[in-house]
Amino acid sequence: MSTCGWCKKTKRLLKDLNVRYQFVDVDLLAEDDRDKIQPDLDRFNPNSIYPTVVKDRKIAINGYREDEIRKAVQQ
Amino acid sequence: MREAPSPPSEEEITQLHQELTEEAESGGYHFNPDVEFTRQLVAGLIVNDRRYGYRSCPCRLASGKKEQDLDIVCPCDYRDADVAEHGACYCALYVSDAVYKGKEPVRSIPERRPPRPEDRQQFKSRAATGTRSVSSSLYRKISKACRLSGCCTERNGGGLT
Repeated sequence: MSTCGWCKKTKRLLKDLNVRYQFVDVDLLAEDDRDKIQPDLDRFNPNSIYPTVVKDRKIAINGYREDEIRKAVQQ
Repeated sequence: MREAPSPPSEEEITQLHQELTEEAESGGYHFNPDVEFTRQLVAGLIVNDRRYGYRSCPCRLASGKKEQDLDIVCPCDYRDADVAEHGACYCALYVSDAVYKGKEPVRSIPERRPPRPEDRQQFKSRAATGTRSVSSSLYRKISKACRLSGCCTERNGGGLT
């Protein structure tokens, strides 16, 4: 989310780790676009916790979990 | 994409940060001492106020319908329970005494907000019926802060709860 401090921390961590990533600030999505990504949100973020980091559409980390994010990047 | 509201100026952030810090301290709460992090959250509150018309939690996805988001208008209904259990509220704007004094680190915490709207009202009812005890002096401080800030008026349509 564009307004969330933990999301900003996550983006900074991924940048510091030199990770190539794409992100979506869901609060900036129009309703139609939010509906389009709803299946992904239901799958990777069922409890609406932000940030959510997804790796290879296999690993999902909900919340700013620095150790888990670092571990996922190294895998 | 939703049209983003104009970003708040540094002056706006400083002013609201100061207001909310004073309000928190007078009510017996602590703002997160990490000023850079906290200013980002305050900026988020200003953005949400412009976007939705109310200061919803910067780390939760608001519906844009105030009646559905009253529980996440800052300070949210879950703040006290989260600060007591985890040392910080969900977005980490408010922290415990131990975190404030640097004795404990601040962490990203689990979401306490029930996913179903009907359960959110139950949480508020439980909190209001005395699962927490507040000293009369602290209650007076909180009441005064509420009257000064108008937060209860905004959240509940008037009156203290």
